[in-house]
Amino acid sequence: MLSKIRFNALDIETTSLDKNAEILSIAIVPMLGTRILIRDCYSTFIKSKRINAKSIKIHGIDIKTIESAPRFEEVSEIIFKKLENGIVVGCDIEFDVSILKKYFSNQDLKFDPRRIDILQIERYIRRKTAGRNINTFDELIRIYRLDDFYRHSALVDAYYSAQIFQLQLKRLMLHGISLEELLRIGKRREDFIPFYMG
Amino acid sequence: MFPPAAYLEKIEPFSFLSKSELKIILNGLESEIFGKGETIFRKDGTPLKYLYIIKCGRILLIDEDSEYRETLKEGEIFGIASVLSSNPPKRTAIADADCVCYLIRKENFIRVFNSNRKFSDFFVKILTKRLSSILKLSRVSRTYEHLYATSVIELVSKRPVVCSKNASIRDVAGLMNDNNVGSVIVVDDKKPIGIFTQRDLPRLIHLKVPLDDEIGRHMSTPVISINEDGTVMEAYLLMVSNGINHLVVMDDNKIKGIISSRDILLRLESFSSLLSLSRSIISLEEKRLPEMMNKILECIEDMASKVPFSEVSRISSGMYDLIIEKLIKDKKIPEFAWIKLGAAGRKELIFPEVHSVVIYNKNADEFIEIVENKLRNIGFEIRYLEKIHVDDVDEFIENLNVAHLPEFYDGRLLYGKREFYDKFLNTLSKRIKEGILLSARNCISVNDDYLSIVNGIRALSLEFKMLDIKNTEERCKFLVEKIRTVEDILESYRVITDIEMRRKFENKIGIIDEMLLKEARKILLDFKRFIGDRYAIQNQV
Repeated sequence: MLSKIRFNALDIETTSLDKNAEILSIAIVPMLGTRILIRDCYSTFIKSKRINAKSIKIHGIDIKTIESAPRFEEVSEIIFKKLENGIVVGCDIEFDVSILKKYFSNQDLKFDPRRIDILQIERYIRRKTAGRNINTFDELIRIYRLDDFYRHSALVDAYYSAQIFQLQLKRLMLHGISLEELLRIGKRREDFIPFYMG
Repeated sequence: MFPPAAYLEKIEPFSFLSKSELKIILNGLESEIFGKGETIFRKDGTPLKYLYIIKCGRILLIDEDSEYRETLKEGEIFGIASVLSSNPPKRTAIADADCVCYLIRKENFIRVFNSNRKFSDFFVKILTKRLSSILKLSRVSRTYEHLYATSVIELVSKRPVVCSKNASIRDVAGLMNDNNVGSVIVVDDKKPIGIFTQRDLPRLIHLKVPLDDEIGRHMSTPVISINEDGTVMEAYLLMVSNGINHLVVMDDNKIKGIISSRDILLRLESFSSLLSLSRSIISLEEKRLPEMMNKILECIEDMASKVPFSEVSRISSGMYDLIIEKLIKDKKIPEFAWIKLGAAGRKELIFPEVHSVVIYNKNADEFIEIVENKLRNIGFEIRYLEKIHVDDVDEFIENLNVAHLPEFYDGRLLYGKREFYDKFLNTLSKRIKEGILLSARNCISVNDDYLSIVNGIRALSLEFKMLDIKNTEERCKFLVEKIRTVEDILESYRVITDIEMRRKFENKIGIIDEMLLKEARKILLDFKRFIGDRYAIQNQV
């Protein structure tokens, strides 16, 4: 029963988009089936060594906030517990998972969750309905007509992902989709892996 | 800001909450999607664990047993009664289109409900159908002042000091000094017959009037009084039109106190522009009245977003009365009575219009034509202006087209001879059965919600022979003691008039307003059925 499956919409903000990226903030919006559990949302800033002017400009995070934030190792257990029993959901989720994998491995924690990329799900739905292809998170937000809020905050983006996945899942459940099928179509195909993941 | 928090902050009654209270709500918040046709909960099912807010889409509430159907839209709240009472829901909720709802856990909702009076009032009033109170709540949330609605009794701070007309000037001066007041009401058999103020004393001393003289010879007369429920603005307009500075405040026949123009100006400082406009109407040259009318309309538009219809319409009607009075008062013309009909008679006008009859005893054609032209130039719409010779009143009313008859029962004497007005009322009373029946029929058949209530209430007022009360709200207040259902229709009337007035000026209304209108119309439908049954009108309700 998909309605009983635990999902976690995830978003992280980082200093850059390469493999040396450092986490600046992380947010998790849990879901039980199509229900978004807003009450259990979690978000935190993470102390980073490499925050620079560019990151500040993109994320709107000030240095003081990052300096006074906890280090990843101080919150890693909380984050790990929140993510361990659910399927991770997000846009370009492979990137977020790969960064977290690296962080958790430094804490001797093995992190390799089942995951679903909402961009892949959307492409699947559009293939079935002959809709125009979608390539970015911004396009997803626009076509789902979500309220226009200030972006580039991990919590807002994770909540957007949860809302989009809620609508996609409801649609797919009406067609009797199984969990296995959902995981298969939500998996990023090799040819879609962006340059920064190579 | 986190999107659910930003959304809730914008909608009433969540906008009434402090940041910490909103956090309690967020700590119990979930979001769920329902596909078209999906049942959210069933009538008589398990008591609800959540309160629902529609984020997008439509919900249908139905009761299969009573054929009750209601469609709810974005921003509307449902499941309130079950959450508050822990009883099973009384309706079945079905998604009428794909929709997303916010769900608030019962425990979190109850916590805030118990801590925030304004928040809980909102829900209690929805459940008990105290609709106009919700309007008031939402108006206060816009932090607007409500001064136009202040009743004069609130300005009375001291007990009235009275004396008999035979008291000496010296005694009265002593009374003022002992009681630390600036004015004394002179009474005869407990009825006010004059006023004597501190400002009169220097004049008398200057004129070397003996201080043993009776006060009755030096008091200001006549005494103009206002009922304690009257608004401060009404009191001010009364002072302006009578050229006086003091009014006696009465509770039926009992003197409650005295108020001065200074008391009012201090209270209404922020609305001085409107007050100065009303003063200017009296002193202004006639040719400048059109310019004045524009300013009045601007003030009324400003008031419409802040003040209930009942107050706005009474004030605007008062202003229009002042202008008409200015044009007809003290002119060397034959004796006449100017009677305002319909909404003007009921003091329910927002925009300036003329809907009147003039009863005269000598040829008044020229006079009326001049006044009519002047009023048109000032900006009044001339809807109906009929002149009747006093000897023809009986014949005119007996032959009056039935379509006009109901609004004649709203006729109010604006200026002129009371005997002519009394004759008008007497003749009308002969057709009262027709007036009742026609008003009742109009109540059921007109499409306009406001006019429907006005007609229904008029029918009931005429049935109880209340020919002297014209204003719909005042008629309702009188009828409430006799007919319980009037209490509900008064709520509905306040909601409909208030929201429709704002819609006229702002061209849009909010979600809460839509919801209140819907509730008000349900009450109106019941009222129409009640009127239909009471006057045996077989119909189309």
